[in-house]
Amino acid sequence: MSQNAAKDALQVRDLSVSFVNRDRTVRAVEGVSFALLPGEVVGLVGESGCGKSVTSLSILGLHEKPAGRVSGSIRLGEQELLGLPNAELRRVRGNRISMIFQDPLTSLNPYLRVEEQLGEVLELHLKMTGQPARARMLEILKQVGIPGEERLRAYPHQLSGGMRQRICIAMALLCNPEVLIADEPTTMLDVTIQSQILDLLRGLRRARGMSILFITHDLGVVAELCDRVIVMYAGRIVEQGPTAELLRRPLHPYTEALLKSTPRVEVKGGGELHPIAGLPPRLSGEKLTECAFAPRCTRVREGCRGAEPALETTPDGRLRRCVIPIAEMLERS
Amino acid sequence: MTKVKPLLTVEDLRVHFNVGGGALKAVDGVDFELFPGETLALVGESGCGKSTLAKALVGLNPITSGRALLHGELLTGISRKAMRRYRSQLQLIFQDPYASLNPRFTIAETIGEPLLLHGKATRQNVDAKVCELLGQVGLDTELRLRYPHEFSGGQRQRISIARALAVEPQLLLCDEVTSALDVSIQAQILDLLRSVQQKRGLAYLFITHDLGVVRYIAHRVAVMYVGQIVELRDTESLFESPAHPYTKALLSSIPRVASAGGASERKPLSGEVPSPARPPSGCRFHPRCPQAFERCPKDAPNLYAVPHGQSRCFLDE
Repeated sequence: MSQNAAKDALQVRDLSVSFVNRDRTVRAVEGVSFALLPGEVVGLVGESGCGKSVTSLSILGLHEKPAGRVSGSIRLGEQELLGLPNAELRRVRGNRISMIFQDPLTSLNPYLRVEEQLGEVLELHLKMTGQPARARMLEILKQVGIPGEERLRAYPHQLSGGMRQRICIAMALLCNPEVLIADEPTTMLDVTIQSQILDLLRGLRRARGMSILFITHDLGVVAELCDRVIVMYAGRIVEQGPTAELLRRPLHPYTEALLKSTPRVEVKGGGELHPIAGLPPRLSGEKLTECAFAPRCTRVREGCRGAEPALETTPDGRLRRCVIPIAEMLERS
Repeated sequence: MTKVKPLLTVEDLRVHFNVGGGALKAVDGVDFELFPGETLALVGESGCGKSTLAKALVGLNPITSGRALLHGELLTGISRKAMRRYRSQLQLIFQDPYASLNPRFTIAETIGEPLLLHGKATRQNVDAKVCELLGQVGLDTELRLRYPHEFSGGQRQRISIARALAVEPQLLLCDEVTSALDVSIQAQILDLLRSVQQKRGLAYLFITHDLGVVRYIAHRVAVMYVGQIVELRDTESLFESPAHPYTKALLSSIPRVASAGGASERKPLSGEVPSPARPPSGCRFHPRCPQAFERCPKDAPNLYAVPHGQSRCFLDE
């Protein structure tokens, strides 16, 4: 939540997304609010089903329709995206806001050469064709670290995984977007390639002042790339704060548990692992009568029951959804 | 480990595939020993040959040359019928438990089948045995009449483990068994594998790309690059003082939670893993190696002794 709303590159307010089946409602995202400042990289973390991907898809209006029901507000600069007709949304997507996904092979058209994939974007959004378009493509490919005309003629299957992800990033950057949404873009890549892509994203953010919403389950990647982190659990934000502080001094037991269940490559014996018992709850959409994490929380107490804790601001400006005194969290973690 | 006889011995194993007129040398001369009760991690990036090697050991990939011995008896190049005898000593668990469980079998049938097939249970006591195994992997025995789709990913992996344990193996080949799981669930499975190992004295050949997991679970580590082992070390030695430049690069490219806030702008390794169909001359890592010198493109290094293991680099000769 920033005080200066006008300056936010992206502002999501009270976003809720539910999927309705004949006999069942799943409330995948519940009252999520956050903002991205220009040039800021924000990590959205959590385990499968926590709502991080649904949140990102909703920002671009890419969630399943008509089953997905979205409410709240999503503002890109001054423009409200939620409820925008598809034709207008299409003008924004890939232009002012773009997205890259986990699997670059499924996001590239296998029948199109690189120059056709990229050319389509330029023609659609910037009405750019011919020589200027070609020059722009070569320039952007150079920026993502794959220079050379011969790449323009390649089909996706002729490229390696890391190369394909670079093409996807190039495609996302063609129109100089204000915001880039990256959904697990390095999860399928080998670590040496992942480290190249993270390096690339860091450089691009610095050079262009672009905001990045980085969705991942990997806390190591968050530590390397993000300025700020939002932790989601069961469709809700449970904690938010600057990366280093949040990872060193988690104020929510779920963040703490997530850190303690991650094997550490830098610690002797991989560190001590403390698995989180049980499974995440099913999100039926009924009002919670306790903290969503209570059934799995090792610090659970009487105060966690009765109603769901509210998301509160801590004295140093972080956010957390937990009733346990901050001093107690700091003392034992 | 003096005088302990190895459970598994792999000698100069090669798995080559014919592709488009050339040979794709997926596994190209691998040697190692695995001792009872030990966990040996096999790590490396995609295409390094780690999974091909594991599959070759259980007869799922044809072996071009070399051999593998289980308890001193030949495991490779034997008939399917002979292989069946070893299946009870050697079990494989895969990354995706959903793909490796029969969707039309209940859990009791899934675990009961190998019990009956290998004569570890009779029709009379099979149900009791199934319950015992489910208990050992931390699953509620009441769930045994359900089908795989009714379980979560972590629970399915527990079922796969129970099925593998049913035949009382001495060696489990674990191929990326926690890669599809969330970290909190991954930690549960790793703890389960550790406690099973302590109770049964099982050996694991643990294939993974996650070095955090390796440091947690493995006693020794073999790092593979383009079909060959480039470093084989005791786990802590490998992480504390990696010998081979590739291992160093691999370790330094892992994003670390502890790096938050620090300016960790390290230089990533350039280039990509070469295709095993066209491995570079000399040392296979030389085109990407920051320490390469004139000899590296010319000669192929052997494995040289380093403290607590071996490294395939001229700098350690």
